[in-house]
Amino acid sequence: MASKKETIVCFCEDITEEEIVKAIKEGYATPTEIKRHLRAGMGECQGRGCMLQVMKLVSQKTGKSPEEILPPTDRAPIKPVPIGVLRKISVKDGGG
Amino acid sequence: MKKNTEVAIIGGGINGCTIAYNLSKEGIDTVLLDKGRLANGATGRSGAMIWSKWSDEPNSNKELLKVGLSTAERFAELEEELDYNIEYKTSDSLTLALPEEEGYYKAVANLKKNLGIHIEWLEPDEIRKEAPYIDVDNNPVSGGYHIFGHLANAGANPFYTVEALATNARRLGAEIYTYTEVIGIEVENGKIESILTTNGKIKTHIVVNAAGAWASDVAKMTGIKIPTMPYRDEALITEPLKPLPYLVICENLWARQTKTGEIIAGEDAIPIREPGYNAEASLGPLKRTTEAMQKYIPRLGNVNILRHWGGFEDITPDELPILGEVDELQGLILACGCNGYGFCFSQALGKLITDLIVRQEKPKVMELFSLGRFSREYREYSGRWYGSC
Repeated sequence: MASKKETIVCFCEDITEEEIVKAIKEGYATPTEIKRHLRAGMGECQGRGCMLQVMKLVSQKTGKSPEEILPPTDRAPIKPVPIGVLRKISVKDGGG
Repeated sequence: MKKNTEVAIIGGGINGCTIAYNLSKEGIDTVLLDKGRLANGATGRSGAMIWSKWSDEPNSNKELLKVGLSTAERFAELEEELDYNIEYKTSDSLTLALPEEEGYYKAVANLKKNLGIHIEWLEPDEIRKEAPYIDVDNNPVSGGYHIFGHLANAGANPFYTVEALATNARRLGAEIYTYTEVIGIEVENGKIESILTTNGKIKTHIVVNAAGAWASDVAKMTGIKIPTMPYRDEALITEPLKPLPYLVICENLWARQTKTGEIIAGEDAIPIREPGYNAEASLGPLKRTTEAMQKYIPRLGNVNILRHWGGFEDITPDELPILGEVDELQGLILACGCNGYGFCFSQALGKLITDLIVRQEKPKVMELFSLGRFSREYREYSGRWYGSC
């Protein structure tokens, strides 16, 4: 049986629970900072698989209530989209 | 929180953290403040490209070229000195020229060559042979310059670079307070006395304004108006790919492949921009960037985009940064106005500011960067360039 420290939280970037707990102790105390520091949530799934777990760990280790823990900013596109599809979108006025 | 410090730096981006590290290395008592986390402004949202700044303009001033190359040279030493994996990577690149741009780009290539950059001009036939995945048949390409992997054609991970600088600054004694906003700067008899933050007051006589897009707001706390303005820029990142031998830069497209394989890309000149602090990414730049990528490298059509985001550049009227002391106020040091090349320029900026604070050195190039290059009338008059928007 795998030991606890080998529990993988972010499958896309291979980030373990132990690494996340260590980062929180080092002061990366929000999901946003953990994302930038460890890349948890920066892979193919964009955090859909791991971010709730990361938020739960932050809540447990910092003692903050779950409502206080905000997820990182969601970035478009919501799912990975191929370049060949994106270039075809029509933009009325050239966009910002 | 500390009550006293020799130098207080406002802004925890690449510039603030570089200055904090350099000053701590010199044994100067330093505090760095950021209203959020580190690298939350332009730094963390940038393409984190490193090149020989100002070598893309054939008529660049010699002083600018020298300082522009020095920043790239300094980056090459950084990873080892900081003992931190900042994902620094040099790479080859190919800048394509359209027929009307050929003369201009040949002049740029010549200038880069004279700076010691390993570069060669490729004709369309040679491009076809060297990089068959680049479509020169359906695009009006009349050649391009190939830069070989060189320190003036590099990149790094902006988050790790800032972490590395901040960690080393702390190790050398600097105090870094995140989530601490500066709400006031106290001035007495034309001299800075202290700064007020959301977590208390710190007495200091030197304040470095490295607040990037927020720099004009910070300066305004002291009554000084500086002509910088936040403008949105956008970038995107793909899924990781095997290393491509060349990435293409052309027609307003910039792109860089990171050490971990993702391609970061964006537009070089933004046709439609609006000032202000709206960082929301929009469809126009996404469409134009992806279009240019697939146009020149058709096989990228199947590659997934993972994220697309916006950030701010602090734009100045002449696209040069604003660095150094201010005549009207003793103790205020400006380190801002980087126009979107702040990451690249940070290592030269950090050295110039540190030399100024520690040794009162003012090399000639600092005249080009001084706030004094804008007349007082201009600063007063150009209302749209300063202040909160």
